[in-house]
Amino acid sequence: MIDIFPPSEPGLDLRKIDSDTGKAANVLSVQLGSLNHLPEFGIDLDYFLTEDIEFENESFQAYMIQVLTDNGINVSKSIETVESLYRKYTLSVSSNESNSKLVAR
Amino acid sequence: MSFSKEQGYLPVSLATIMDNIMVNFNTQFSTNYTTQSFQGTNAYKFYYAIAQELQKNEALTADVFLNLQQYIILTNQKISRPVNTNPGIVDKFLEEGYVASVKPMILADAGKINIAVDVDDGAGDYAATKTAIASLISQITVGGTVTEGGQSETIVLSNGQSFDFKFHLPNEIPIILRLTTTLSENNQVLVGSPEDVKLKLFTNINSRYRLGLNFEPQKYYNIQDDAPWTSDVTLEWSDDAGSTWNSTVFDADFDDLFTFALDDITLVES
Repeated sequence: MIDIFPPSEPGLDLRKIDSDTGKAANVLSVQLGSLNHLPEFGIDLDYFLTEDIEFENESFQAYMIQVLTDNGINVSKSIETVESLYRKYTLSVSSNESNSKLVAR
Repeated sequence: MSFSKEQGYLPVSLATIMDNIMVNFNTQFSTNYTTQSFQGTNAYKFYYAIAQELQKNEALTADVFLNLQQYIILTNQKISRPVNTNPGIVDKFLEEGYVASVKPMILADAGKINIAVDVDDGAGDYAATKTAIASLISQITVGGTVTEGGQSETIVLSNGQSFDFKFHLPNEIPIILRLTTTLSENNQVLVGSPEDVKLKLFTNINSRYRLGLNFEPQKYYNIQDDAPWTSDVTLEWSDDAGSTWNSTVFDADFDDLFTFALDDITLVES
């Protein structure tokens, strides 16, 4: 879906790109309940960071993918990279495809 | 965008503004966003700031309509009530900062008007106040009316003619007050201190009682608003230094004014 993105260099116009990555980044960077006008938008990062229970990394990964799906973003691939002191998650998103053609059997 | 006679201008909600933007965005870029899928996109973030500005202007527009309505109501009231009617005279005095009352008309008083004004004739600037009041009376009473009262002041009209305009000072009746409260056995709230109770009563009477009104003792202190810890309150007044106490309504003449100080309140707790 077409979305707008910040200019590649300061001073240039905003860019229009057919991509869901902007929305995906917004979903993952907003704490749930912190937006006044969209209280149900975002992920509950505080919960994972402050709860006493230790979570499996897979749980957090699955949670991210579930929230993204709830927001209409398809995650096609999820790669976990172990760096020296942290883990990095790379999520690939793809746009929704719709097909109204009849399938012959 | 809507306007109704009853409610005035109703501001368009932020959600509606964002939906309109989304519809135009869909048309412009051939996308098929819905309200849900549009939320959270960069475009939504970008346009939300603009929508907030639009919403602010919507609120300001509604505010203008509201102020205009109030202005029209006020102007209509002024047109429909000339100041020389009895309520008009009282209102006009209030506008100028005085509390006044007018004697109810009886046949014997035809052609005469009795106005009592609550001012202190012992004050240092009373001479100026008296002239101001007489001047005000000259403007709000109609020709052919004789003003009555103990206070008189000569007012010169623009053509040089001079008239005497009169008014009454309040007939001050010094009273003392006695408030009897009974503590409720079901009380769950903090009991007020005697000083607070007296001050509350004093404030209540000052705000609810003035020249021209009957003194209605049970109206100035009630259980629900002022003393939730009590099961019964009775306010009594005495105009003979405590020999007789009355809890009944004092049917006041137009110039009768009860006067009392904070120290004149006695509190009886049982």
